[in-house]
Amino acid sequence: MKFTDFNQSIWNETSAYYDTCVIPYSGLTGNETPPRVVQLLSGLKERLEWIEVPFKGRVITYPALQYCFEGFSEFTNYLINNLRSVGFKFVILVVAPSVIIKQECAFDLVIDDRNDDSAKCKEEILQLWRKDVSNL
Amino acid sequence: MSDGIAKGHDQHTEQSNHKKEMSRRQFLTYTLGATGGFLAAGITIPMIRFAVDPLLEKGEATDFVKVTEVSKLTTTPIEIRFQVNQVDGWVESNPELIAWLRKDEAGNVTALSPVCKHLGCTVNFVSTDNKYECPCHGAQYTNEGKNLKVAPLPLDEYSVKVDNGSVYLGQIIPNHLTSK
Repeated sequence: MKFTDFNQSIWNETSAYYDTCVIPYSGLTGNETPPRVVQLLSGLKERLEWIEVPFKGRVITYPALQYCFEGFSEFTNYLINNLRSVGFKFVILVVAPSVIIKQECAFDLVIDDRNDDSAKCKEEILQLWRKDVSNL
Repeated sequence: MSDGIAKGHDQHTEQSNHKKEMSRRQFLTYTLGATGGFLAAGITIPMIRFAVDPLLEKGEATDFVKVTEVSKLTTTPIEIRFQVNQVDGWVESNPELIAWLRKDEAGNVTALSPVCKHLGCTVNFVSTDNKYECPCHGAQYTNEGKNLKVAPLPLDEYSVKVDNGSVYLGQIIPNHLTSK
């Protein structure tokens, strides 16, 4: 589901089921031409659909981070902490194709070119959830 | 005396007839107003009708789509992906759908929708357990789609048509297999 699908009453009733937050990251630098931006964003959209469709009842997609910036690592750590305080157990970063994250960050999972396949991506998320169950 | 009354009556009738008559100005106003309104309606009504036409059209049942051959099906469900043409108002799209198909013991073909009836995740068939399982919150269904755990309802079905050994799938309908 997307964050826009929730109002206060739906959230009050169902928040216990949605424990995974997805942050889309376009990684734009400003050097991209408009067609390149379209290509990157449609690639990102496709990756998001690999997660949003099969895991619709457990995953919520939040607004995207569009541009890369200094202090990405610090900011995302701050963001992850805040998301956990709202009740999310897992925070996943979904990166646009060919965008590389060089900084260390505390996401539970990063979907990028290394897991650029629908089945692989699904399996990584299932593993993340299974790991949590086995840790209980 | 009676003559005087008759004269007074005539005068009154003449006055009321005079009141009912329409003036030239009124006649022109009414006639031009009616003609103008008629012409404006003649132009604007077809334009409005054209603009909202897709909304007024009755939603047609999705056509049946050929998805596989009956000979490829067994009693164990298999996952089939197929595309349908969808028209929603002005938007036309070709979304990909998933169905789990199997043949029952009597040879009837059944197709289940994989959308979990709990919160809408996509269920998978686990052949070792002979059950559908939802990866999100552990809902379980029999191979006929009957809800066993977590979900409040059985999995929906696709309407199925078999013709010349080919399987065609149509619209999604509520599960009738589990009520047999």
